[in-house]
Amino acid sequence: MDMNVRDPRPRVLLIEDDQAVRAATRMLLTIQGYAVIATACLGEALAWIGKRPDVDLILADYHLANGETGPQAIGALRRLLGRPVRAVIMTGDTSDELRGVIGDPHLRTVRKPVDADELLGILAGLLVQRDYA
Amino acid sequence: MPIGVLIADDHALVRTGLRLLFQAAGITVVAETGLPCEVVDLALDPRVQLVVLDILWISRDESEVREAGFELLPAIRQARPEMPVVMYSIESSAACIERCRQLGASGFLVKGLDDALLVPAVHAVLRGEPVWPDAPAQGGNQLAASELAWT
Repeated sequence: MDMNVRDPRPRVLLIEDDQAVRAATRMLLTIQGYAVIATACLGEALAWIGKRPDVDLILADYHLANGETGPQAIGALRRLLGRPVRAVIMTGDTSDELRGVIGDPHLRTVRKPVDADELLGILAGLLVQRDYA
Repeated sequence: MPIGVLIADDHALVRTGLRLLFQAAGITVVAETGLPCEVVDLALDPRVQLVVLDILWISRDESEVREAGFELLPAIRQARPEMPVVMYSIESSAACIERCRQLGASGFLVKGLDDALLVPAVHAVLRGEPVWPDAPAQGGNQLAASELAWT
């Protein structure tokens, strides 16, 4: 892609360690008009953000490989970016998992197994929120 | 008559993505299923002209993954010998692709790499033109590297 031409699509950074789920999620979002960068772990996500900080949304699984969690990854990426980038966590939903993310106005959760229409609605809602935040 | 397809994949996100993609292209999704036991029955629907079939299927309790596509492909071919089946899988080794070819698939698309080819592939296969990767991926590294770009 020509880096001088601004791609008008919303940019989603996906962090999902399961390769099949990562491919499925990326495919769905791409078809729905998002530009997607698919990463497997925080390290890959950080490397990408370092080169291209123009991310609109982060979509992360709660449980990542090697003990990493989605909220930790989102926190690290936000610190690097210096802004509370909007984010969605995909979770199997236990109260312990959700406790740490309640109260963050820029964060949403979506229950696994993920319903595609619900996910798309949440992402669209967060993008609208960005314009008025 | 509009093109009718069956989507057989255990991931709901994939099924939704494929359905939206095909609908936008004027292709009718006659049915979709995430259960291997339903695939052959649904393929018998005369409105189905092509099946998009996953290879690796996870069990409902997520305790195991098995290569159900390798069992379903010959079963579909037996039930509807004239109907093309396009494999759509994350598993893309040369051996896997060759096995699909030998079992009678009409094409093979790699999830995450070949998504833009899905609609053209449906049309090509229905014209009798098989769709196979030119250079099969060797393991997962090629996919992992290619993922690190906006898509």
